[in-house]
Amino acid sequence: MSRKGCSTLDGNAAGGLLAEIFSFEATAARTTCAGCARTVAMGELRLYAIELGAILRCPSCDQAVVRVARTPRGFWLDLRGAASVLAVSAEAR
Amino acid sequence: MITTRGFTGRPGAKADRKRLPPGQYLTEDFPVLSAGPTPLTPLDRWTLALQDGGSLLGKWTWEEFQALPRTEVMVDIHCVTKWSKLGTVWEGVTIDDLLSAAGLDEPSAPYLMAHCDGGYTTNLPLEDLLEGKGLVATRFDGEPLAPEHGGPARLLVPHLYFWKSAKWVRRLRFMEHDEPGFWESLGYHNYGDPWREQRYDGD
Amino acid sequence: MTVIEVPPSVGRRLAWRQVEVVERVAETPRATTLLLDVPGWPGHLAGQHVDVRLTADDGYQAQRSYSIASPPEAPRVALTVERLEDGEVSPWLAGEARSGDRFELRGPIGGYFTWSVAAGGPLMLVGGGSGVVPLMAMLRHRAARAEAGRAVPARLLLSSRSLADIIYREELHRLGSASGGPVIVHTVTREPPPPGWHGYARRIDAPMLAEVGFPPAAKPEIFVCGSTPMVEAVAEALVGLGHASLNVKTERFGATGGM
Repeated sequence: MSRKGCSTLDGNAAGGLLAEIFSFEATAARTTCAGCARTVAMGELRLYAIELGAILRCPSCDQAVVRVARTPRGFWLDLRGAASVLAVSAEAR
Repeated sequence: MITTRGFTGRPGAKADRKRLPPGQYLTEDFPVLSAGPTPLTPLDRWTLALQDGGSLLGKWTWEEFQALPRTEVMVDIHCVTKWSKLGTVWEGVTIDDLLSAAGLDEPSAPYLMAHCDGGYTTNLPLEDLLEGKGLVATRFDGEPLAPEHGGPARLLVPHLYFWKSAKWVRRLRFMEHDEPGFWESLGYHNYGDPWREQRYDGD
Repeated sequence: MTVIEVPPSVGRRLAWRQVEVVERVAETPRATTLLLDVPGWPGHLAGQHVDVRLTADDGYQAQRSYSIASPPEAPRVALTVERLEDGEVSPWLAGEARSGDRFELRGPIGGYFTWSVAAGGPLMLVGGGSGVVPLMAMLRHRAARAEAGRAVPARLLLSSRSLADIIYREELHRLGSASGGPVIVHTVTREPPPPGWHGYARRIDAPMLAEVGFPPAAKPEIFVCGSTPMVEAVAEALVGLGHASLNVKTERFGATGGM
C-alpha cells in the first residue's frame, strides 16, 4: 500500500495548542518515534486533524507520535507513539 | 461574545433548523478532515475482511465486492467539527448484505471495530449498523469515492457523527466487548449521537 | 505510558486577546499586511506566529495561524496574510479587514522556528511565497540590531510565482543594498522573468542552494519556510549538500483541509 502525504502543516502550527498542555516549548522538543526511531523536533512532525486537536506523525513512517484532542473539559494527550520526548532548554536552542 | 465585522465563514445556505442537530452549521462544501495521510490502495490489491477473533468470516476482492447487492441512499451527514451536509447520495453494500454474503444469519458479537488503511479505527454497536443503518460505501454523488473522502471504500453510518464513518475501511472485526477506537480513546464520545450532541466523553 | 487527561487549568499561559486593525498595507495582489494594536503584547521573537480567531454573528468560529511579520523592535505587531483561493480566514484578513476592525488573537507562539541575533549565524533563509513572512521578521530584527561591521552574515533565497508576487520586494532590495545588508537572491517559478533579471527562473534545487547558500563548513543557522513540497525538497537538498539536519529548521505553510 502506498501513501500520498497530504499534510500541509507541521507541529509548528499546533504550537498554540501544545503551549496549553506543556510547560516547556514543545515544538522544539525532540521526539523519537516509537515505530522507526526517527528523531525530529516536534515542530517537524506532520500535522493532521488540527480541527480536533493535533495528530503529529513521523515524517519517515507516518506513525502517530503525539495525539492530542481538545475537548471543552480539557485535553487528552497520547504520547504512546513516542519512544521519548526530550525538552530542550532555551539556552541550548 | 466578540464578533468580527464582515466575517461569515464559508458560504452556506440558510438551513431548515429542524434538519440540523444542535450546534451544527450547514455547508455546501465537503471539507476533508483526516487523522493521517491519504492511503492509495490500488483496487487490484484492495480487500475487505470480516473477522471474529482469529477467524476470517469473509473476504472480498474489489471484483467480488462489486458483485454484492448494491444499495443507494440519500442521507444527511454531521461532522463533530460542526458542519452538516444535507441530502448526500452514496452507494455501497449494506452491512446486512455483507453479513449475508458471509453466511451469517446474525452477527457473531454485539460490537464491531472498523480497521482502516493508515491505522484509523472506530468502534460501533452492531445494532447501529444493521437494518440498513450502515453501509460500506464506494460511490458518492454518482462517482467513485475519491481517495481524500475515503475511497476506494469507507464505512457510512450517517446517524452518528461522521468520525464513525471510517475512511479507507479494510477490515471489520466483531468484538464481544466494546473497545474504544482512535478518537474514542482520546476523549471523544464512545457512541456519538449528533441529536443528543454526544461529541465528547461525558456528554 | 497511557492516555493522559490534561485539565484546562494546567498551563494556561496563552490567553486570547481582542486586537484592533490600525492600518492595512497592500503588499502584492494576493498579500496584505495588517498593523495591529495588541493591548499588553508581551513582545516576541522573530519567527514566532499568532493564532487568529474570527467569530461570525451566528457564533461560528474559525481559527488559523499566521507568522508575525514585524520584528520584536517594531512598535506594532504586523501580520502579512496571503489570500488562499479556497480560504476561510485569509480572504477576510487579506481582503476585508480594515482599520478599526477587531478580532481575537493569541500569541506569541513557537520556540522552535525562531532566531535572534544572540543565536548568531551565519543566517541562511530559504522561503517560498508567503513563507517569506517569518524570515522577513528575522531580517528586520537583524537590521534593527546590526552594529556597523558586526552584523551576522545573512542570505535569503526567495522563490515566488512571479515578479509581481514577490512580497516585500522593495524593502528586500533596500535591505540588500545597505552596507552590511543581507544577500537577497530571487527565483521565479511560474512566469518568465523580465529582461535584465539577475535572479533564477526555476524551482529551488540543490545546485541553486549550493551556489547561493553558505557552505556547510560555515555551520549556518538555516530556516526554510513555504509549502510542504518546497520545504521537503529544500531540506532534503540541504542535508544532501552536507548541512547538519539539526541546523535546518523548517516550517510548513498551507491550507487546512477542512473548515
